[in-house]
Amino acid sequence: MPEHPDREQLAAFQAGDGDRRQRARVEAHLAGCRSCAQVVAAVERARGRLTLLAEPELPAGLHDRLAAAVDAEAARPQPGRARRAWYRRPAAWGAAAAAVLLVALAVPLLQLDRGRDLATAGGGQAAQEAARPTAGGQLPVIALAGELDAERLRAALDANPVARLALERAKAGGEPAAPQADQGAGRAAAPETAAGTDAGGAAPPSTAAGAQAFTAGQQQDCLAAAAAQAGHELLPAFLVEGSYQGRPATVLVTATPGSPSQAEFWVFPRGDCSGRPLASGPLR
Amino acid sequence: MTERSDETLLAAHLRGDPRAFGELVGRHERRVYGLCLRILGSREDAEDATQEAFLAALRKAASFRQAAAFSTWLYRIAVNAATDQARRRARARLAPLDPEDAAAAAAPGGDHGDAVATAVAVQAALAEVPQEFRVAVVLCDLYRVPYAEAAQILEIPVGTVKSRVFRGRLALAERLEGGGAQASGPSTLKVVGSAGTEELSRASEPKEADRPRQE
Repeated sequence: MPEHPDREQLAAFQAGDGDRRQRARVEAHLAGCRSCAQVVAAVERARGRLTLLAEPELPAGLHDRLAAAVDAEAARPQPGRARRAWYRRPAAWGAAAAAVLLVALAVPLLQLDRGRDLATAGGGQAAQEAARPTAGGQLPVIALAGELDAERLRAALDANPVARLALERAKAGGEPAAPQADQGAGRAAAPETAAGTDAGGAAPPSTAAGAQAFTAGQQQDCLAAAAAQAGHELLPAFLVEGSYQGRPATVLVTATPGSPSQAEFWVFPRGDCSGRPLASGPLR
Repeated sequence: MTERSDETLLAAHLRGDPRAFGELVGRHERRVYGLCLRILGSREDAEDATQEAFLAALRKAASFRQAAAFSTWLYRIAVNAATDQARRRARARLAPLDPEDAAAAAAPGGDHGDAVATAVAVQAALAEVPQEFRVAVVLCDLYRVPYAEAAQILEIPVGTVKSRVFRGRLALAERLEGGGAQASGPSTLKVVGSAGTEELSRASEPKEADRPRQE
């Protein structure tokens, strides 16, 4: 018997995938290979056994418990609603946009090539990262090559003036300096009108490190998801792009209103904030 | 009057209809609870996870996008809530089915005594299957969620879903038949690549490890 089919091939076979020729090949193999045939038969038996498990009844009292919990959550005063809807508040956008703008004004001199590994760059060498403050309510994006974890994020961001500045600005939040505040307000209107198209222009496809900024809408989703997880309002500071557990990821870094020393990161699959963060943790 | 769709109800909730979300809970609570119970193996944990899931859905309601079905979105939240609950309890192995659930575990019909005993054994074995495989098996084999939808719920490629379901069934078979009592020689089964809950499995793993052990 030549090569055994691997697990993926057996799984595909059992799922009914593959064209006739592929299926015939696996079938022929199973006919002649006792060990593979046993694997498939055992898996079939397991599937049969699973049908013995009925859908469980709802335990007594759970319906009422859920109803009460949902009512209590829905009845919670402002914090809950305000948190979810922070991005609908002009003030929040103004502050965020002002922060972005300040960074935008601060970084042009650091025309940076993208995607270099900060860890190899050594501390404090800002010229090694990419930071691209973008228009229309977009947060600055910093690209880090390689696997992201909490330690690396901390080390990288401590050494990164762009990141530090963005974080400072996010923390300053409500009270941006006057001239920036004016222009910030002008920016604040942008996300509603230009979010979708603007993001495309602001983040050109890149083959290498591939820093793809989220659209403003996705940023809102990420922030909402992070805030829901945190249980309190968050101020967006900047985004980091890299990979997490082998998959492309975007990390949102936030400050917490009223806690100047606190900064947190929230890891999302790249471009997808529809779910809960994959991971999160304190940065400071 | 025709029944309103889940998506319509959610939209009504977001517009301020005070009863809409409660109706969604009523529609999906049994399913969400069942999903959590099969993933967690413990009734108490499943109840907590169910509550967490609906509260999370309520908090995130505004971020629901019509691109997916409401149920897909809700199950994703439920799976995440169950996973979080498992992590919170930090149990390497999950508690077997509570005794009072044993009767409820069995499907109706057949020899009831045997069916209960087998159902309990299946639930206990299922609880020992590595979590990410177990979640896939629960969705696809118990809840008959199509592979493509399970892929959306778990946010992984559909090929990975199939692979996890296959591996989950295999791990289950090993635990149910692992005594080696049968002449068919189940000891030739070897489950490899059982990933921890934190680990995101790659779509492809080393071929050598994928192959059943040679006789």
